[in-house]
Amino acid sequence: MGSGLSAFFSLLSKERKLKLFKKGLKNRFLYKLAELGSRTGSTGYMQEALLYSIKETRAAYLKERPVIWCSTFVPSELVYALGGVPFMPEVAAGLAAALGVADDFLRQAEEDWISSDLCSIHRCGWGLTKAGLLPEPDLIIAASHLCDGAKKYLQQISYYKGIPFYLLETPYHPDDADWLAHQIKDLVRELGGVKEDFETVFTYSNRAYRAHQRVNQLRKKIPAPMSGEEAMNLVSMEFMSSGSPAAVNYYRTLEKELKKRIKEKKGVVPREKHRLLWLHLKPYYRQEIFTTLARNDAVIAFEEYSQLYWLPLDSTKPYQSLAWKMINHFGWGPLERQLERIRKMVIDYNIDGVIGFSHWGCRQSSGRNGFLKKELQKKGIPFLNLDGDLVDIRNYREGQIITRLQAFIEVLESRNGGINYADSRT
Amino acid sequence: MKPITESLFENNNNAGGKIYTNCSYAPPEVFAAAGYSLIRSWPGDVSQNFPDLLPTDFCPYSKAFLADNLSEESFKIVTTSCDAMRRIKDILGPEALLLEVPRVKKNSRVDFYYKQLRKIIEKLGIDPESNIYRSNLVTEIKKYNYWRQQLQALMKEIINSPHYSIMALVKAVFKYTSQDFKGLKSFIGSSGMKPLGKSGTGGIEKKDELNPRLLIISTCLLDGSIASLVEEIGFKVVGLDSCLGERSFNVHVSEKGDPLKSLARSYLYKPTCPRTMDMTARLEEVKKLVEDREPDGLIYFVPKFCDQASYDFRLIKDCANDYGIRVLFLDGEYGSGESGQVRTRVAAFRESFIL
Repeated sequence: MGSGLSAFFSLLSKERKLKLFKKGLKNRFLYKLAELGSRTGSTGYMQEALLYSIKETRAAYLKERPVIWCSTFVPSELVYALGGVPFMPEVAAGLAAALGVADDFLRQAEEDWISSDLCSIHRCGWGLTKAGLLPEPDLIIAASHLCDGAKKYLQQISYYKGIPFYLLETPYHPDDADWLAHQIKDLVRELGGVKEDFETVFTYSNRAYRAHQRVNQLRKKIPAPMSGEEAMNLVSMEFMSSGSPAAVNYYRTLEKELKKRIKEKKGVVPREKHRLLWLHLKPYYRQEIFTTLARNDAVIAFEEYSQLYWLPLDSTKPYQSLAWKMINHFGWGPLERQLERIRKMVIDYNIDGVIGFSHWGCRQSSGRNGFLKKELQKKGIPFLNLDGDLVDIRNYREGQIITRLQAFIEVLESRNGGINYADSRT
Repeated sequence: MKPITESLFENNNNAGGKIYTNCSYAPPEVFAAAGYSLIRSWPGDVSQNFPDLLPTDFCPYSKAFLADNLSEESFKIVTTSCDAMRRIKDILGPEALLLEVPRVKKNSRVDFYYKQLRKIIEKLGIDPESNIYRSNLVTEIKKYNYWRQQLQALMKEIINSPHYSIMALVKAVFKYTSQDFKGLKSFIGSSGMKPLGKSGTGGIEKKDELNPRLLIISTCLLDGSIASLVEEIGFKVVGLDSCLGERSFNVHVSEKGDPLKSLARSYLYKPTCPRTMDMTARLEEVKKLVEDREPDGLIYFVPKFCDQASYDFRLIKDCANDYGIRVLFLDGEYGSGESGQVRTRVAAFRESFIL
């Protein structure tokens, strides 16, 4: 039936496909079908993630609740408290890359004078918006952290659609947290107050936080029970689900799954010789990075984006709590602070080497890798600065990347002095 | 402190030394009142690279600022203008003080900016509440207000007379932002106002097809090469909306009330730079520029890999087109104005006014 469907689809013109796809996104029955498929076709934490995504996608496209577009580092708890559906075009851009359809939307952005010098996540988000594929937003909230591109392109979209745009300015220093707390309070008041009390939302958030804490603890086990690639594939749960019951279910089922794998001594790679830490995110289109690493007995044991960088939220001081969560983001603040956290992850997760992915157009992250490499190498920690692109496959040079990965593996091999860590660790 | 009139024309007393900054949102008055000269870095004319430290897709100004200041002993003030400059501050280390500048024009943001200015003054070992500092600040505000009015007058003269080159303004801004008031005085007072080059002298008072009026808009123009190229090709530049231009001196600081609060408000509300997240204000200012200066064409220059300037272009282009103004988009590094490709494009743009 599947091949018949794709054969039918391949006959259609792009415009027809787009039209059909848009219709499908507003079809209640199809959501029921997708839900059924997830319940029968998947299990455990993957099923939880799918069910959550289907439910919130339906809520957004069928306008079951106000749709609030936000940049990925606006706390989703704030959106849930406002009674909205958090929708992140940056996540949609990653999905478009994973489905292999990002090119058309990137080209649309370039036609609209949004230069290919800029981050492809935002260019693709712009193209998806212009194509009318994203759910109509009621308002947009952007945080000034982490990057310039996110807030600028969301502002352009708010101007293009004529809808309200709110910027939460995240100060650099923790002693200015109150200033941000006031901004959040003003925003909530301007939007008519919370619809879901903070206590309820923060209870879900804190439960998920504790389960996530236990998951991160389990991931210290050797061999690694979960790969960074797997975790980064579901990073949207990290960005969007905090503050919803789904996040609690997701992390609890993930915890169960990891316990099972550890019990069965099931590592991600058959012979784990090199444990790596991944900084930034990964390319979301098909590529050979992680299979190359696996072939060389290397695993991403942990990744920057899975850090729990905030403390459980306090509903007696909701605005301060949310402000603290934003200010403490691992990618914000002075690099010394980021370096400290990276060093701690290297120790906690028994890391042999760090890969810093330099995503084209991402000044804040690719601009730090030279500094991090210099500092980490002083501590004897090998660092690979890997240039590439999360969404635009035109910026992905497979040959060059594979060669650099292999050279990095050789550095790790020589560093281990030929000791077979895999045997000594298991 | 010397009487106001005499000190107007003196360079700062420099007792505290020089401080270098990247941005027009660092008010020089704040540092002059503490005995420092705040110098805006307009680094060289060659693009710099730090292959081990910075990626290729990184703003040329921030790399040049790093090159200019890496071995520089003195303090640096780096504003949170953009992601790239935040990383430059990280690389420069503790000698670089970070000045957080809000991105929205609101009272709550003025208070925050005021607090950040106070923090910086305290870090320089000065008590912002001391009488001596406050009276120095009042004097410095008067001094800088005076020079900004001179630069505004210079700009008006350049706009209204076909004979004066925009390069006079660029040179004056260089002197103003490097606190060279003696040099600025003699430059403005003397023949610093050189007439336009040969190919541009055909201009006359009223609009003349031979000499179309041009507005240049950018974040930081990097250097004067684009401005001098467009003049050489035969445009009459009637506006330089950049911090290497009018956005550095279209500020008047109220001389009443708390001087530091006045500074914070005036600087935050000065003409909108693309880093300020206020698209409505930005477009209003572009409309006003267009209505006041009546340009025939607009050149929008983006320093390569500048997110802020890149994202604003689309709406500014639409705005200019609504007024029937032709727009040319240029992006580039240092010395862009000397590149053959840019020259060809500007010349073709110039010819489109004749057809």
